Amino acid sequence: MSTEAPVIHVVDDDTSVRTALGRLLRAAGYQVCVYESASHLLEQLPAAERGCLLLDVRMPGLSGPQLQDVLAKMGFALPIIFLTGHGDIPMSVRAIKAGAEDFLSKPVSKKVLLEAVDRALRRYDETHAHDVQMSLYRDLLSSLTPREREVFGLVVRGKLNKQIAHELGTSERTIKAHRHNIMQKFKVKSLAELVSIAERLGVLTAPADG
Amino acid sequence: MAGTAYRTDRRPRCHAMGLGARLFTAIWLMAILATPLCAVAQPSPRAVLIVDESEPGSPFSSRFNAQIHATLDAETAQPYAIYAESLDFGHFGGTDYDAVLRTYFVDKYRAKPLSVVVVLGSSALEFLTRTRSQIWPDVPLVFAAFDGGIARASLPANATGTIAPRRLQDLVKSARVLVPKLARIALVGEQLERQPFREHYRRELAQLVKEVDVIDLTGLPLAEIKTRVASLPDDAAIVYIPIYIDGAGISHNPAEALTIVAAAANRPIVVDSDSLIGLGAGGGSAISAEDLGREAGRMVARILNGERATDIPIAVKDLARPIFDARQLKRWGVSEIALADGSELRFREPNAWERYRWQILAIAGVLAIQSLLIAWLLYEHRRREAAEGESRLHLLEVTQMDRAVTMSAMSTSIAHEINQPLSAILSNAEAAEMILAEKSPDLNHLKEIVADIRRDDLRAVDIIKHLRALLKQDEIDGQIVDLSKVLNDTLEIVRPQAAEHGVAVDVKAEPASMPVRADSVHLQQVLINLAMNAIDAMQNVPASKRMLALRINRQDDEVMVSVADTGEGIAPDKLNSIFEPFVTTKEQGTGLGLSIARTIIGRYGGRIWAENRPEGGAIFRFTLNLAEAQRA
Repeated sequence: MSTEAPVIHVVDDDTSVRTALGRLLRAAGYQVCVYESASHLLEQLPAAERGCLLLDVRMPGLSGPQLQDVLAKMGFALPIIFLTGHGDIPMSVRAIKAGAEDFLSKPVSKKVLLEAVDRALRRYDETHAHDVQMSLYRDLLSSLTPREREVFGLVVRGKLNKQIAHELGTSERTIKAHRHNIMQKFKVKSLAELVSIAERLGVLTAPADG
Repeated sequence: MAGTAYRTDRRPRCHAMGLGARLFTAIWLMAILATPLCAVAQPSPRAVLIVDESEPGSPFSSRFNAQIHATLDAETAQPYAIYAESLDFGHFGGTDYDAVLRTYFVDKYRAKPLSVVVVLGSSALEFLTRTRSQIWPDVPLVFAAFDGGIARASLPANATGTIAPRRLQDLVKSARVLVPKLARIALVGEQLERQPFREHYRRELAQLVKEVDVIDLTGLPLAEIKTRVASLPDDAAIVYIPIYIDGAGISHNPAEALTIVAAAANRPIVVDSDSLIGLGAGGGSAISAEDLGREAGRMVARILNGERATDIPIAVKDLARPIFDARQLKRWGVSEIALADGSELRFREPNAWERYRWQILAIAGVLAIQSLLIAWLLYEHRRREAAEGESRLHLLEVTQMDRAVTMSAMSTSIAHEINQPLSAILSNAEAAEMILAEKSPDLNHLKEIVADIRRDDLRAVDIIKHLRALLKQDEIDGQIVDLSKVLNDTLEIVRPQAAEHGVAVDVKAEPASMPVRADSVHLQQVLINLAMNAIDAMQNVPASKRMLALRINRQDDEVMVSVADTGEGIAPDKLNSIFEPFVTTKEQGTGLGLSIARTIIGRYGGRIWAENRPEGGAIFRFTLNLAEAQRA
């Protein structure tokens, strides 16, 4: 976890609202960037560092949901919280389905807002952590020797050492040694864990010969 | 004189013939003489002479003669020729005149053998009876006379005819029609005994005096007659005896004399001859010349066709008919209804109906058609008005509905608007709380926050005011609102909408207030309608060029609002029709917005219209009268 304060990006065309929200979030300890329209945000596209987006729904030009689509296409990964002056149920459903973290109505109390931001950041962390983890596993996978790779592929498919040795034309002992190395590299203690990693890496769905 | 009548017995030698020669001559002569008889005979026309007792050119005898012609044409195939003689016994008489006539007739008609002599008038008949042996002794006579007292015994042989009696009492009957309370008769004109053809009236007088008083003004000079007839009592009528020679011995034309008498008379006049009707006489009893002529003509035809006069019985026919002058009836205040059946009414001005029957019918027809047309048009007009009234009612309903919809849309919009300041206030307050909880709160920052809160609160109050205005049960009539303010209020709603569609808004308003007598919600409806139309019109225009321009300015007693867009404009032939209901260019349009706007503006006495801008796009303008207070 970064020790820096998360950055909340607030997009709202109403000046009073924008300013007030900024104040509140800063007082709560977050860093805040404010934008008066969706196009302003896209122009100054920030880095996807730890934080979230707080979007008004009805805005001139691109609306909140439209911005959500654009960001999704771009692969911009910050979680989104919608804030609306209307009680727009269909829109809220759509927004959530499209992946928004939450859909809040103005006027929004501090408690509700900060809880939503919290959740959003946790989501970020989860996503982020997950991404980090996955990237680690991929590195590990590519650090396997070709032989280890083959063994890995068969081991996670539940093949016995004897079978693997037979298939690959080596001795059972060699296989056992490979297996031990692989487990160490992946830092797992059981076969089940390895299989889980393999599944996440998509290895299980690949053809059996690795 | 020495006649050639004696014969000698001496036969000149050259004439001596034998029997055979005499016979031969006789036969030869007969052959020659007979030839014309054997040829296809063209008999010479039979000569018919009409002798009438009145003056030449008398209308009665002219018509009588004409009728003889007509009747002969109808009743006989014999060729005939008509000759006419007038004896003028009115002006001439006496034994000397007899002799003149005798010689005249004998000489004149010596070479013209007559087939029939028609005699008109009993005096003429008497004359011919007297002179029968000398004038045309063998020619059959057909007479037509008025005197019922003709002595049959004195008629000549070989004579027949028609008697159509003329009675004084018929005259009196007609006089009674003219003077209902008739008590007196004034006999005016020539003495009866001097007029052979009226002499028979004298016999009737004896009976007449039992019914009415008789004032005898006959035999007077014309001058005196004029005076006397001018002062007759109201219950009197005048019987006119035609004057040939008046009391002073002056000759007159009887018709002219009548006009003079009529001009002077103060009572109605009756006459016994239809040729005198129309000269001032009110009426009388007359025998139609045609009727008499027809009777006589038939008898003449029979004679021409071969009958003998003695075989034709003398006819007595009542041919007298009451006759009146319509103009005189009017003068004496007598209605046509008083006339008995069979009366003849002369000089009846054909009333307008008779004269112009076809024109009247045509005009009546046209009028009828016009009336029908007018009635139909009125009916249609009423229906139309009813329909318009209904549609106006519906439009009003729709206006109200639209108003409700507008209000609902406006209130949603307003609710949204309120949420903004409320949200800002809440967040600001909560931020302030958190700052206050810090060890050393930044007071300047807090000041800012408080100021912002205040401002947002006021903003919210404003919006609530709008809401109040919306929800208030407004008095529509008589309420004065400031159109400038209404425009500004409306902009609160229009701007976000414009922004959403990428339309820039440019407003130029004269600073002064513009009071108008109208309902503010209605005005907002119009403004929103126009603004939304403008925004929609610019959909297909590149975003950078979308401009909604609003202007409000004062022109004399009116305020004018203009809403302009940079869209595609309006087809010139549709500039009017777009204000009709259900006319729209939008796919989802109801087509009612502009017609509602027109209804509203019209209701407040203003005008609304559309123009195309020269630089492209359309501009909608409406005007409203400024309320009195502001009038310059």
